[in-house]
Amino acid sequence: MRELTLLKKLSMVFGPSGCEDGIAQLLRETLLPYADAVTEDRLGSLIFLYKGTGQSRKNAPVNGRVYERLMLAAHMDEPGFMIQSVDDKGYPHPTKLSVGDGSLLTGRSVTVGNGEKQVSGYMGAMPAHKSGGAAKLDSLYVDIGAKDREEAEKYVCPGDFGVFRTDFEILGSSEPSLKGKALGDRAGCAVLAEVLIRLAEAGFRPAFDTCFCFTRRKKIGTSGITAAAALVEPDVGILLAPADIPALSDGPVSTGKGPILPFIDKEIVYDQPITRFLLALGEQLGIPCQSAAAPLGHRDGGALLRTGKGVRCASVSIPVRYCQGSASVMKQADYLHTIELVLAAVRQL
Amino acid sequence: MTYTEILEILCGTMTVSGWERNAHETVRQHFASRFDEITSDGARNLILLRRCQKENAPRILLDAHMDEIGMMVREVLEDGFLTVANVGGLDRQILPCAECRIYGEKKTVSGVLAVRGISPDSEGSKVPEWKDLVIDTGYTKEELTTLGIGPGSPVSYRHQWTQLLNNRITGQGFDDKCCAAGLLWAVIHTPREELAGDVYVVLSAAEEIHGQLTNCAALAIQPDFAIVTDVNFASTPGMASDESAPLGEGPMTSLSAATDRRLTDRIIAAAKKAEIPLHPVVESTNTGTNAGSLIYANTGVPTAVVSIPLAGMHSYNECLSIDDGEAFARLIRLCITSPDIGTDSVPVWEKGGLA
Repeated sequence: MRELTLLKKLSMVFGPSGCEDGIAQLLRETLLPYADAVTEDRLGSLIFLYKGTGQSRKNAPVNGRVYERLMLAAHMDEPGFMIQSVDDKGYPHPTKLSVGDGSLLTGRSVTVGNGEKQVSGYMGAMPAHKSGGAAKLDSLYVDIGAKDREEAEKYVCPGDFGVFRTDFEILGSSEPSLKGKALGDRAGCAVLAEVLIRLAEAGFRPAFDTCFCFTRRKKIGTSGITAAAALVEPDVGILLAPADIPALSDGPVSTGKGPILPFIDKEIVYDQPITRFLLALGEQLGIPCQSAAAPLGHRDGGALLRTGKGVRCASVSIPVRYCQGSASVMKQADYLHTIELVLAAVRQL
Repeated sequence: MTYTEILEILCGTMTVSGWERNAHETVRQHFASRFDEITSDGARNLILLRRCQKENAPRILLDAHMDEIGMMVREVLEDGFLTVANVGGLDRQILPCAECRIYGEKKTVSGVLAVRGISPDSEGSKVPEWKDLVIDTGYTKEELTTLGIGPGSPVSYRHQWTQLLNNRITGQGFDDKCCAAGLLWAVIHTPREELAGDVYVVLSAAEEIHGQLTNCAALAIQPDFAIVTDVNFASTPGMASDESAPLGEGPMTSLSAATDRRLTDRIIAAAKKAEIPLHPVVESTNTGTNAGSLIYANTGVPTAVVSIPLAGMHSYNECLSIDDGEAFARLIRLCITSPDIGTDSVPVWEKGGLA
């Protein structure tokens, strides 16, 4: 399945916050044949334009007003750490970037480096026999096998980055899950990429000019979405973001029940007509969806809302387990249903 | 066969404590032709004998434990999650999001460890209790049952054998398969006529949960002396330099009241003469190995400990230097070919004795 191959490729790319060139390059190569135009804004967001017919449709939630442009956005960066220093024995030491919990890093297979070159290693710590306490970030070190500082700095220097190194794999059988690194982040990219490819392959032109934006540095706060929006000047924005669902959760939303349409998040009440339109669209097309009235913790919506003359925002959140860890898990069905819902939204808005 | 090839063969088999027999067939398949006898005992030890074919030759016992740390399934939950218990010393605070393999009777499947009801946070996660640690399998309860996964199924970390710089590798189960590989290499690379005695390689069971099972093998073997081989701490950031050795600079031996010092000193002297680097490390009363019990076997077994430094012991990734493994293997070969290493270990009554 193409959409699975796409997610796998996106998952495997090295791209922590501040070092997203590799993922931008892959998206550019993948989507260039399908887009009408592409640009990169001043903060590095990659933006593809897919032209619409210019006619908004009857019964759409924004009908009756003059709207021209739809912005779909997802972030490219993944959980990671930064290299603070390299010691005399050749061990690079990590500092917090987006992952600051030592227990999530201890012992893990990692890749360290920068946009140009990377090297494999693992995150070392005092063995449990000797540590007698919590694995703190400042006591961890990366082992790449270097024998001293000079050799290590041929591969990795202070200010370079590190991410988890995890194989992409399908778990289970009848209701398969997908396992890999950065799935919470890259699934959003994969959904947007797949939607653009499907629109172009079908030769379908939506009412709006549609911009597919892939932003940077979201995992350390707000992404560069405001700069991208200042350039694109959208009337309506739909944000793709992960919803971090715990194992065996008895909360109001869960994995396996389709994309989540939140009504609120940090600093934003999402646009009610658009959110309800998306929920109705799911029901009409038989795409399972979940609504949520509790914030998922994303800041991009609030930031986008206030951009320029104001942007009507909704969010489509993909349920993913263990977003912050070395191996995240999502239901394949949730991924496929999110693609279907976003595709239908673009076609019918 | 190179040292690395042997290590790869051993690490390709899951041997969580209790499941050591998994490796017996693998070892027989690859090494049967190199030994005179191979037998397994009731304690799940595998004993491989290579005779020197000399009269009244000493019997040399070489021990490496075959088991590795892991987990065991306790219960299959309704939605296909598994609860688990530890087998050996795992650090549960590093388990959330760790990848693992679950060994069913019909199929081995992958899973991810998680904490019930809690998303791992980017900072400050609490140390989970074992009762809250679950494995996310992606299967339904019925499918898991069909695959033969249920209470008692063994679970190990998911292997990631990776080559780092300077001939270092990371993976899992190196404790203690890196020593077992060295013992096998040493014996199969020694012509029979060069052996200083009959060599019994004991690939022992259950060291990670209680140890002591080498003693069962020792009762059958009646060795004149023994070398217990296990991993020891590599010098990594935070580790005291006097209780560890740097990776890539050779194997280690323990100076301890709980081992035979004369035997240890002879090994150190032989290594020095042969220019094999060997780091003595002080472990005054406890080496944390099978040697602790083996010295009490039978009428007492003079025992020394020789080790390979290992970083990340019992962690998700363990790391060793292939150079150290190869130097260790050469040292073991030296020990089993030097006639004077195991001398003066047999008790002799001077005035007629008990009889």
